[in-house]
Amino acid sequence: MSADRTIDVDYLARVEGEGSLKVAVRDGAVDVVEFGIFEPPRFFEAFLEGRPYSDAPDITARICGICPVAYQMSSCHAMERAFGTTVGEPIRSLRRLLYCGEWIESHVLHVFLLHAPDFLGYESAVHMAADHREAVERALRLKKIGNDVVNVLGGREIHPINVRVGGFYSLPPRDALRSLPLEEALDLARWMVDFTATLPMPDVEMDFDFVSLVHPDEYPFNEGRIVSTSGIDVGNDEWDRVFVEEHVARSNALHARTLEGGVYHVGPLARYAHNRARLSAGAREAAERMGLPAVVRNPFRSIVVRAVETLHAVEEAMRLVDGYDDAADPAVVIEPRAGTGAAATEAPRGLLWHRYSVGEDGRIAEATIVPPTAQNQLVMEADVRAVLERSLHLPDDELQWRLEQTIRNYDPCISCATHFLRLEVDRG
Amino acid sequence: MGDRTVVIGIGNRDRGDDAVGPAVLDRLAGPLPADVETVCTDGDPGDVLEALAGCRRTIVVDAVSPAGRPGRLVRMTDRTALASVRPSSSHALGPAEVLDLAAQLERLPADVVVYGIEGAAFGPGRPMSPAVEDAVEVAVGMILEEVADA
Repeated sequence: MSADRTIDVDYLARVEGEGSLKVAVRDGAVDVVEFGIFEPPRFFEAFLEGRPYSDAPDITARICGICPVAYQMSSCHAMERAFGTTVGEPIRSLRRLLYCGEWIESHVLHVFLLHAPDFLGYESAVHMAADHREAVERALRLKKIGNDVVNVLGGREIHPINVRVGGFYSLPPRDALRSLPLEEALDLARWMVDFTATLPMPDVEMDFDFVSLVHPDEYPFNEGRIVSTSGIDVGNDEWDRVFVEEHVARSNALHARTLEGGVYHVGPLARYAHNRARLSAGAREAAERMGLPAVVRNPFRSIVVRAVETLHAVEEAMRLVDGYDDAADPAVVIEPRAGTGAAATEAPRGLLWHRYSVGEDGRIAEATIVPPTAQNQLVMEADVRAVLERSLHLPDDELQWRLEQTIRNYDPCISCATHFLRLEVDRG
Repeated sequence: MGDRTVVIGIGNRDRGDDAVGPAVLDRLAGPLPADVETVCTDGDPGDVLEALAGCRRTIVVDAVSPAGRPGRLVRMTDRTALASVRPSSSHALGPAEVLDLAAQLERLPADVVVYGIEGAAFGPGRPMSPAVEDAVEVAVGMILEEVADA
């Protein structure tokens, strides 16, 4: 094996150049690690300007096929703050329930169909299914229940259509929620935690600056202050006071840092580090049983934390359904006025921040959307560098495999729509 | 296997030529026989596998990577032909992989037809390219003939 190696990990959609990871090794040492992605939210920010405030949830939901609920929730909360509106029950609980559904379907898809094959040495979920058919069938069933939760609240479309600023267009009947097979989901989610805990785990520890929402009473979906390991603790309207986005030539996405220039990490590990005590009882017990420490610094163990969060989402959904009363207005009355509002919510893959300025006419004057994958770009580069330094002895094919697995720790939304990954090795 | 025929349109209306799947379904909505179902999806493996449940025949419509001939329409009955363009993804499964997974799980109907239309531009918010729009019309005609012959 030569001392100089170039490894390209290209994420290609049907469009060339949607994103890539470029790694160069010179004289046996890691020289360059550059991660570049295409970022559709920038287009959507421009597209939103001049449109009615009420279009924001539907338009931003189209940014990502996997997490439309997250975009809808951040946009609704931000608009409501711009107008000085607060929503009460049952809207608040139903929004959390919608998020439970999205976490379940997104986490299960990622864990079983994308990430677990990496750990078990399979090229893909198709190959894994040959030997682990029952596991894949169970995963698909659990994912389907997550989809059902989203559909019963959001409507059966690619993107939920029942969400609007102020609440919902209509409330689901109590019986419709009660008929969701959540007891079955509970068994499957418990099994999912056990399954992930058996996976062979690469041994890497990183010194992460975790950033997530923190709520005093809840494991966060929709609400909370923005908190970091390094001491940041701000309201949702202050994201841009403590973080900065910078243009980097290699990527059309903006790279986010803390104001002091620090690299930070959003996603399940960050939420878990800051909110472990507020997991549901079963999820907390499962985390303890699996031996998860209070703060998980091995990025590969994110697969276990995703399973724990899935169990939390199922238990939280059961609690929310139990307490649901459909005798209420589906939305609060919105009185648009000129103003600016910002909101962060927890998408499955991490903190998603929106800010809107709205004019007197109720039209959007300015929109800013900061997705989790953009925030994680720099920490992904740092992880790749750390894993590379420990793994240079591996042959190219194994090294590629490990790098791909490393990137997948972040469940990155490379283009949020059409995106494929292609790996190429060119020894320098 | 049941008796259902389902046409699955895969794509994203907001990404230029990636809209071919939904666009074909839009144009089929009126003339398609009532007993033929349609499913519009962004390619979510759960959606596709669910659509295939109890299905005798499926017709899948999706965009194909640019290769210099925008609007080129291919009709494939041999799924292995898809393997040559098989990608793996960081964040989702490609249509070929989802069909392979369905086969692995014994959920794939005996009769599978894939229509691919080569795209040119997939930028957010772009309209479909004119050549791709033309190919969508041709694909709609072929699918209507295909289901009528069944």
